[in-house]
Amino acid sequence: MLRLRDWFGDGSVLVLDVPLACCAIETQAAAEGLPFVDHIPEDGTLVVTLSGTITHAVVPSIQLLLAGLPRTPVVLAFGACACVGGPYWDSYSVAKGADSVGIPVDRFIPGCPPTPDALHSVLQELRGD
Amino acid sequence: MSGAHGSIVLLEELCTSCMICARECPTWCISLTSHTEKSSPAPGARERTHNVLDTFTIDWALCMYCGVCIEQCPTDALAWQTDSVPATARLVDLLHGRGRLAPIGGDQ
Amino acid sequence: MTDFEDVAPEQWRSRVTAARAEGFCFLAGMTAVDDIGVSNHIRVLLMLDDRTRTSHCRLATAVDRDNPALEGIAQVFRGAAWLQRQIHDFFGVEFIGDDNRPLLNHQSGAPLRKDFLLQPRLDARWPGALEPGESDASPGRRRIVPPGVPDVDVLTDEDATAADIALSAAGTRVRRRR
Repeated sequence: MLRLRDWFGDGSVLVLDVPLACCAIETQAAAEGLPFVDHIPEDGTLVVTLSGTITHAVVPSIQLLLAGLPRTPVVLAFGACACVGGPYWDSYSVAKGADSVGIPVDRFIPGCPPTPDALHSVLQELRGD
Repeated sequence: MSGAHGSIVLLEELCTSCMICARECPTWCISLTSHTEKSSPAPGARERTHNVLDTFTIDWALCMYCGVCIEQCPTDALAWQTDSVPATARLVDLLHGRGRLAPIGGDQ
Repeated sequence: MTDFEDVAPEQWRSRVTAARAEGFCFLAGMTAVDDIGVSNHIRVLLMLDDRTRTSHCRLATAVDRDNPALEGIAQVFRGAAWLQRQIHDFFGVEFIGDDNRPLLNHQSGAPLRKDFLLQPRLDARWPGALEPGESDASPGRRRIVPPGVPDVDVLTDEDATAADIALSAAGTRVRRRR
């Protein structure tokens, strides 16, 4: 069952967070108090935020999650780890960012971690599309 | 609204291309190149060599905003500014060169 | 701060069993340290507390780095099973009689050993390798290396020992014996 944040309360942008590491503290702070819905309106935009370090071990789970969504989401790499592996780029167990393991990313949000405002800005921009 | 430590600016007139920021950066996100030039400060004075900055790039995707570069710069050529780096559609657009790293509107 | 009591590897299980009988029944932690550069051992550390957590027993034993095997103590402390698998994952120590299956590290190598090099760090171009006044790396010039990367002389030396690599990666200049 989907658990999406109706970010603007009007069904325009529905956000599914993938909490992986410390960046999830910021995405969840950004989402605090926002309503949950379990479906995507016809003209709503589905957004997935990858919040944190992507280890090689977790890649199959992320791919399974994305493949199971009812439509292709807009994928946001939130923070340095999701963008390029962050400070752990040299680790034997960490992927150098989401797109390095074949996950198509639509926006790269820099920060370690980025602020909740950084996420708001991108979602605001997506709402306008 | 951004935090007080949004991103880092380069005051390039203060930079001596000493390489300390690039070497101290824990994530290797700073790259810089320079060349040497000779000058004679006064007529008859011994000719001396100084460094001239060519390129200075910060990879914002990799930066962890720790501020070690700012602390270590011996000439205070790096400083915090409040604006965060905006998101981009391509990773390569998060590489900012010396032009984009200049403080907005001159001095802080 | 309780000092660690050194225990011979052959006496490990019996000493741990005795410690539990003495009243140290709480397994506070179990980990390891790679002593390469100091001695050719992996030191396994065991932290036990009494029931009230106010009294401590700290035991240490050193196993040969090239053949690291130690009696398993999961029969004495069931919680040690997970911790032993973790030590096996990261230091390569085999715990005789207990489960040594991979837990967190499913790749080869022992990542917390000090001669374990991070390949991406070796492969990547370090921006700090340039000297002030340089725009590109001039060949033949001796370059400084970043933390975690051994000096190129040590890396290319076939006779370099694990200690040489570990010390060089930590920034210690390794004296080459001719």
